[in-house]
Amino acid sequence: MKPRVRRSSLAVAFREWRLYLFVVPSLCLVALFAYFPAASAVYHSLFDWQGGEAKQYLGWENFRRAWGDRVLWDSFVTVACLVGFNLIKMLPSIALAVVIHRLRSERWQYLYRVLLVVPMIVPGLVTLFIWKFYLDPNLGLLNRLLDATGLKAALVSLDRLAGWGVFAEGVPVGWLSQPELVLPSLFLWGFPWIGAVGVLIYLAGLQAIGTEVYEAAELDGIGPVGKFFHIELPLILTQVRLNLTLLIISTLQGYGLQLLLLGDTGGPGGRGMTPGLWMYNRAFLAGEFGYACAIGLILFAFILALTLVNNRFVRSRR
Amino acid sequence: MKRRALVWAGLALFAAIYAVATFRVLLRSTADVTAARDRKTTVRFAHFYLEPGLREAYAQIAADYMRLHPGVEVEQIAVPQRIFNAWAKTQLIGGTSPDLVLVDGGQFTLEDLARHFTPLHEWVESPNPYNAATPAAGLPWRETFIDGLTGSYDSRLLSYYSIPTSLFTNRVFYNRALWREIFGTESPPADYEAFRAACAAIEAWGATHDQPLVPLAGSVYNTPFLIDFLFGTQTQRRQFEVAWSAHLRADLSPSVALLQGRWNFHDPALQSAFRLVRDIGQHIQPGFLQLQRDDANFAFLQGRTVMLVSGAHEAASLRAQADFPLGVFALPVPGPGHPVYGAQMLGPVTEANIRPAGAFGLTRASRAPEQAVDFLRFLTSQATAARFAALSGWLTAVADAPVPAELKPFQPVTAGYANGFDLSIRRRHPDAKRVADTNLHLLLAATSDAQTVAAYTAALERDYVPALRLDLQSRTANTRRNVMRQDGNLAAYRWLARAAPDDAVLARKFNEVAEQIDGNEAENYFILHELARTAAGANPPARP
Amino acid sequence: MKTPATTVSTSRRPSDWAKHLFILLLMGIELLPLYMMAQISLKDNAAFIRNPWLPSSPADWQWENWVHAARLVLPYVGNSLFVAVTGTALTLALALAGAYFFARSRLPFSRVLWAVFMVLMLLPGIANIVPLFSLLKEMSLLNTLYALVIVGVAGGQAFNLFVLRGFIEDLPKDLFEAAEIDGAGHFQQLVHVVVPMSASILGTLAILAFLNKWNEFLLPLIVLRDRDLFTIGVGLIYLDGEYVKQWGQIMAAYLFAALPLLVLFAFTMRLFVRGLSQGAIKG
Repeated sequence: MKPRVRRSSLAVAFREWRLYLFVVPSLCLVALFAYFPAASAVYHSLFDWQGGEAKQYLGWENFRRAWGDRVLWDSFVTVACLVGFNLIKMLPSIALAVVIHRLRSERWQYLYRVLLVVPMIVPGLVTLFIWKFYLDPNLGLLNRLLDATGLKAALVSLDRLAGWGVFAEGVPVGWLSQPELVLPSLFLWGFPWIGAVGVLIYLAGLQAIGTEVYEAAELDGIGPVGKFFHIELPLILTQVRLNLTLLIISTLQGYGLQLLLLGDTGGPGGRGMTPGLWMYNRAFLAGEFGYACAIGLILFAFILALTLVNNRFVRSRR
Repeated sequence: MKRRALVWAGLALFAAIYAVATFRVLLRSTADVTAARDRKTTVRFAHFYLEPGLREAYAQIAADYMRLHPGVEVEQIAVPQRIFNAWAKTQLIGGTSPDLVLVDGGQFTLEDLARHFTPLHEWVESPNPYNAATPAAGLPWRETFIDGLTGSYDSRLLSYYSIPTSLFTNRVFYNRALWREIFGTESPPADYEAFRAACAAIEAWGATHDQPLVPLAGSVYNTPFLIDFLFGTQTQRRQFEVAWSAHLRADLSPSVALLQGRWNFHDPALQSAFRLVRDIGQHIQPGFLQLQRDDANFAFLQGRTVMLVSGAHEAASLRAQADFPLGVFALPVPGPGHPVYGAQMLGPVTEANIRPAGAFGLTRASRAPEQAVDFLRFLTSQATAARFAALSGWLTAVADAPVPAELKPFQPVTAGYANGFDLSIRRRHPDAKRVADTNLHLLLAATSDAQTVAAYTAALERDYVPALRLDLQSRTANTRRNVMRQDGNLAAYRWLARAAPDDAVLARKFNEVAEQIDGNEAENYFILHELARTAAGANPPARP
Repeated sequence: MKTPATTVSTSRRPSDWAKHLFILLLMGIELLPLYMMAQISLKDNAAFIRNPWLPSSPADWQWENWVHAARLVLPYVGNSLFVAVTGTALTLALALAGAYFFARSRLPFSRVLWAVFMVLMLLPGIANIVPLFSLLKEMSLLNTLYALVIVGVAGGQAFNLFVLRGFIEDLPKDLFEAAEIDGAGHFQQLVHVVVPMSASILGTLAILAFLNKWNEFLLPLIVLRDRDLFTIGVGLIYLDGEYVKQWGQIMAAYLFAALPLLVLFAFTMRLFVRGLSQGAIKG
């Protein structure tokens, strides 16, 4: 970004005022359908509000209550774990992009790209159904896999050593019914965590690498891992960062999966409770829309702060 | 460039389909305008009963009604239960709700009822015209329901807020084919101990026949039917010791008493209840806390479990789906003579106090309230209720309506003693219930009885009371809002009375509202006082 | 692992079979839901219970599941198509114009306005549902498909603006200068310079926006009341809400809901893959 001379910008504005018209339609729509409801939510976070016209001014009471709300702070811990998981879940996509890129046959590369896009047409509810089926304690694929491979026995003896009290012989593992396993299950969810759009974007970044770079690297005796860190990763770093930012934001706001999978109380032990889900719970189950707005505002402040930190970090690296 | 041509052809096809879709949308919006000009009275009713046969039954009855009243259009809106809450609340707040909305399941607070629903007392006191040719002809509408409509009465709002249509009694369904294979007979267990023995026998049979068989199917939906019921048997006696205050409402008594330290989780009654829940809980499908209602049905229908606990409302769909003969028996309850659990009980459990279900409230947004009420009258007339029961396979909430033979085992048992409180304290304490539910896994863990009961007790001691305080606080806030609203009414009556000092009806109404406000405020101050008094210390001093 | 390159491959480096294996394994797991959806859609519940994993023999295929699904889903498809296509077109048109504003010149307030748009991405939306609902009611847009279109367009602005601005900024400056010398105004520059250059990225963004709107369910759920206005997302939720599930019928309905996407992708796959692969979207 180049610094601009301040004085001339006003003159430019006079000359180019028509340019503003380009942004006006977007701006109006956004102001009406995004900012107006949001502003209303901010305003109502100061009220005891049940969603209708009647409300009572509370001042900072909702925020004071949030400060002492254990469920809310636990939910922030949960969502922090989920963000951590999602960092790990980015790796397979990067690996897949690199592996496809390293294929020599252009034909295969193209074919795989097409194949990547195909699962995008499957409705989300199908994925939900399939994964519930995988994690089912009695019929589920995961428990059968553990039994068949003998991993279950290993887990049971490990459990006995460490005293977790989670795995026991002859008792099917309740992936979503034992609170200790809720987060691990959410981690496993969606394995192998391939995001088609992400992979394609990484592949685009990788295309800038010519074959001669690889050949030079090979002459220097750099192995496949070295190549990844020295050649490939730097080229897709911007895309990775963008994906990361979007991912963090959507994870922090997320509640849909937890709602469908674990119900509106966050499942056993409330371990699947996220701030978004708590907001939903308060608004639509308890009817405390004012408090839900306050939670939303806290969540927003949190995301904003994280994004600012992230931006600073990104900028300094450029 | 053949491929390019193909792409263009594809896009053209897409554009054509889009054009058709758009045309249809535009056509419909003009059609809507003309339809609105016809000005037919429309009655919409919304519910979440997606069980097979239900929508068809409602549609049949709506069609009957429309035949009777040609100028009226009756439309049902069936919304899945999972999203009903969010859907209904938004529609109510936006003032766009259907005329009649299902108010079951405790999803509406006092505030919601008061603000969005019309009190029905004016209507329920006069007879139901659709009962004209029956013995119930002269009875007030209210008296034609099995509970005399007490379940629909809100004592804080001093009126009736819903009209029930059905009755969900809970029963154990069992797979007769499997039962015969295992026990050589199809007769169900006679009492609680026989039931437990049968559970153990089923597990043993599964182990020897290399066929993993679970006694009871379960899910987060089904299991509370059983365990709340069992829990209540153990507080039958304690309930009366706790219910110390005659002027507190039934659902408040146990919760305020807990704050005051009149009972706690170490009480023999509570400990006994935990143990009972654990006893039965161990025979439920493992991992049921992650399963939904349809998962439980599925496991039962597949023959992976021998029994399923569910309501009368599930009977018809189970019967339609099962490829084995279906049996039904009452929930197993230990009797007063039971060596362990009998001590806390007064006697066998009655279902006479069961609250009817399928209750519809009349929304304030309704543009044809008279017509909507008329439809409800039709729906709950003796003739239609019998027809509804036959069509849907559901019990009806209407008294003296003929019951189809296959529904006989589901009719409520009226002899016996009422159950005590459970941890959801009459479903009026959602946050406390959340704590009880999310910690239930502690009670059902694989370790020993003593350990799990201790762990559950400890978790409740830590989290239950704070959640209960939250519930009570939001309850008092609701009552306060209600009182504020009634202050307006009171002022209006006073003002009107000034113009017509001799109007007896006005005077009566004024007194009614004033009395109600006094009662509500007294109760509120009492709760607030108790909340404040017990706030500081973790262990409030128990009163003698 | 040095297998000599005796195959047709002309390279002397080891062959790629390990890589293929890795890719195919991952793809296999990713494609599993699609396979399950297709094979269950032709079973009845009994067959599904007996054998959930493998397709039943073609003689037992329950084609009436498909007939049922087609009857159920096709009206929803029409509504969804209207909402998604109209919404996508409007989203991109507005975002392109807005992006042009931000990319071409730094006028006063443009930084503020940019922040205004970007903050949108950070807003958690659940508590805003009620004010939004009241707003739509005031504008008498409830129970209309237009509400979905408009709210969708507003919601899509931030992301698309973000991508398109980056793209337009990277276009060669001399193109714009040449156009300006020819006396082209901003609108002409937008139409004659930007649009032709950004065909592939617009295509890619269009498909992403389309997918997004196709799968949307929370807003339609709350806004729509009449069954014949339902979009695919709501229709499927309603289907999923039944208590005794006919898995075959449900999966068949899901399959039919996915068919339009399949057709769309079949024809635009090249465009989509190329757009993404050319580095259309970057940080």
